[in-house]
Amino acid sequence: MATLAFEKVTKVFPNGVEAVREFDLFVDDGEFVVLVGPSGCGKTTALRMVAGLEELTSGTIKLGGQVVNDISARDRDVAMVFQNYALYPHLTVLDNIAFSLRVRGIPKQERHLKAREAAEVLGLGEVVLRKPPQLSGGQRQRVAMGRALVREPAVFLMDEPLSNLDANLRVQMRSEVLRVQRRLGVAALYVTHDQTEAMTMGDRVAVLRDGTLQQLATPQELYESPTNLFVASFIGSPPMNLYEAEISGPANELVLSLGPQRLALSADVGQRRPGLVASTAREIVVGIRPELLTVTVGGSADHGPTLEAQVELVELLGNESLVHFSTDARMVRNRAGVWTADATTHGEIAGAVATEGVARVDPRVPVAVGDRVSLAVDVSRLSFFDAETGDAIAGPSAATPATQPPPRGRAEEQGS
Amino acid sequence: MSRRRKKIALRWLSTLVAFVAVGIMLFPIYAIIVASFESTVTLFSTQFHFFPYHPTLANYQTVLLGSQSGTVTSVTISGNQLAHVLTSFEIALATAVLTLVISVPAAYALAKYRMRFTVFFVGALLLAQIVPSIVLATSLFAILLKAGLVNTLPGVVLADCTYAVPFGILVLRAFLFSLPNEVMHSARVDGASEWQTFRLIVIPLARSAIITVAVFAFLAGWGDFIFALTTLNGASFEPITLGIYGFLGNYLANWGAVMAAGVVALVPAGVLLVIAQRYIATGLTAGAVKG
Repeated sequence: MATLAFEKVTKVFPNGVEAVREFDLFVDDGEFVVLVGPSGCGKTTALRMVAGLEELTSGTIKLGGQVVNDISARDRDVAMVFQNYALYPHLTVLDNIAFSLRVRGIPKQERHLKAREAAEVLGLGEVVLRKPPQLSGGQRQRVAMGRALVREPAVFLMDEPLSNLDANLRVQMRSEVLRVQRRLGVAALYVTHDQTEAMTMGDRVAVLRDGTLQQLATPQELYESPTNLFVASFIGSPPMNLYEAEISGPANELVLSLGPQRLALSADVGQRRPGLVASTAREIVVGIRPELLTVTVGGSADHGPTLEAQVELVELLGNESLVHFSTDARMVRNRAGVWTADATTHGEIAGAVATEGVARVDPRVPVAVGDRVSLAVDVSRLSFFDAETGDAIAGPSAATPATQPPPRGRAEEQGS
Repeated sequence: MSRRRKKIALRWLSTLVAFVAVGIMLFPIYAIIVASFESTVTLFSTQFHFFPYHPTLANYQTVLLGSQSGTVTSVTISGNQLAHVLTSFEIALATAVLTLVISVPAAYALAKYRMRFTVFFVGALLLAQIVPSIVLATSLFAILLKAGLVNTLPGVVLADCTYAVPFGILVLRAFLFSLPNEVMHSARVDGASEWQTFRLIVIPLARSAIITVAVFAFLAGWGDFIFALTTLNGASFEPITLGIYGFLGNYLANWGAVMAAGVVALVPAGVLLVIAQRYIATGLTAGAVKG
């Protein structure tokens, strides 16, 4: 059991690609940290450097406070689950799980006993004598985790362990992975490109882009106060609606202009974000999460500030409806610019259906395609970004610095 | 309907072509077997017989018992070929073992470690395959002479390995490329040393390729004539290939005995191939990673 720390870690590949740049991260004992980002953002490289499968160009990695840069993979005492499982196809489930004990010279009987125990925990009791080709995808995944479970490693590393499973199994295995990690009670670093996985599993989530850490925070913090446009657009599904806007007016009566539309901001919005006042008459980007929009019916009562829109598409999901709408506000999209983001990360909705915004609404509110609706906006929870730098404008106090121990959250609940 | 018929016709045609091709390739062997039961007199007739015309076991008597029967006086210095078969077996086995000992680790290193000279080295191996044995034989003789290995078993084995080792490395390297790196990384993270990874993971996974290389190295040693002829210069032992050669004199040749000895030489190799064939070209890596 140990802590894991990256300190100014940089990795440049021989071909000149800078995969990870000045990366800082601290994972506390027992904490589950997720590295998330679009493909090619350096998250897997970061993980492999911890395992000792990739050398550092500069910086240090510490396990339990000890620098391990020059310690070989076999002596680092880390357990790793690979994306494609990397089981030993010629060995039985039992021998796969017991392999790490075998190379440490533990007698056969003892290691088989331990491996069987791990197999039981993972529900593999029935198949311990089978070989990997005879197992289902979920079983192979469990064997891969069993190899970590049998060892009591210092840290537990996982590289997109669920990406090869079908959707149902993936959801089921999420909790299984967490259960294994809690049982091990060790620092865990988990790599994924799936933001849902990151949000549901991580005690804290580190968002990476082009090898640089964008934000490290709890899922909730990440969702509510993203530090920049990249994080704002990457986290959340459907993604945050981002519009070009302008701020005007005195500090306690700020008005947000979205194209021809005006949204009056309540006084506390300006008070909480002094930077917003400084941004008056400058171009900014406003972010509106889909659930901050409510379809108002009739327009009789006072709903506060509203956005006029036309319904383009309604997706009924049972417990909620996703209303895709168009407005005359100009949407900021993920195209090459100051804050380039991977287009595929939220192209599914914005790209396929050429609408300009999504609202997550109560399915009982009757809306039909073509309707002109007023969308009430919860202005107190809007996000604001500098249009030039893409950084959040004077958001709530910045996230915990990466090298500091995190606030103890879920990590403490594990008990034993 | 007609398309279906065309398909069936095509299938029959391809089967037929395959049969003809196999027939052409196997016909010499058939001819050798038939000839081994003929008397030399019949063999010298211009007529080819698909079945032995005057079946006789005299040739086998010559080859197996060393007795001098038959219609033509044997010109041979070699009688009993069984000792030669045993020598061939020793040479072939030693060639196979030495080839594996050298080529398995070499292929692993060339496939999995990034080294500056890999490309150059692999090119050199290919080049070694291109040079005909007869060209190598002369210089090899000079080397073995200096090393005092002429007329020794290790000398022939080393000579045979000049062919078998490069071949083995190339075949094994190609196979090891297909082994997913993650499996080896996984072993390393699990705490295995390089040697443990090689012994416990790589070798078992490469089993079919290793057996394939072993069989081909064995056959290279078994069937070698050129290197045996040049490095064994009046040694007290000689392999079956030289034994067969012994039936051929300057003025006379016991062709019947040559054919019978050929059949005798074929049998062990044939048995080996039948046993090994289920390993040859069998992949074992399925299931290592999600495919």
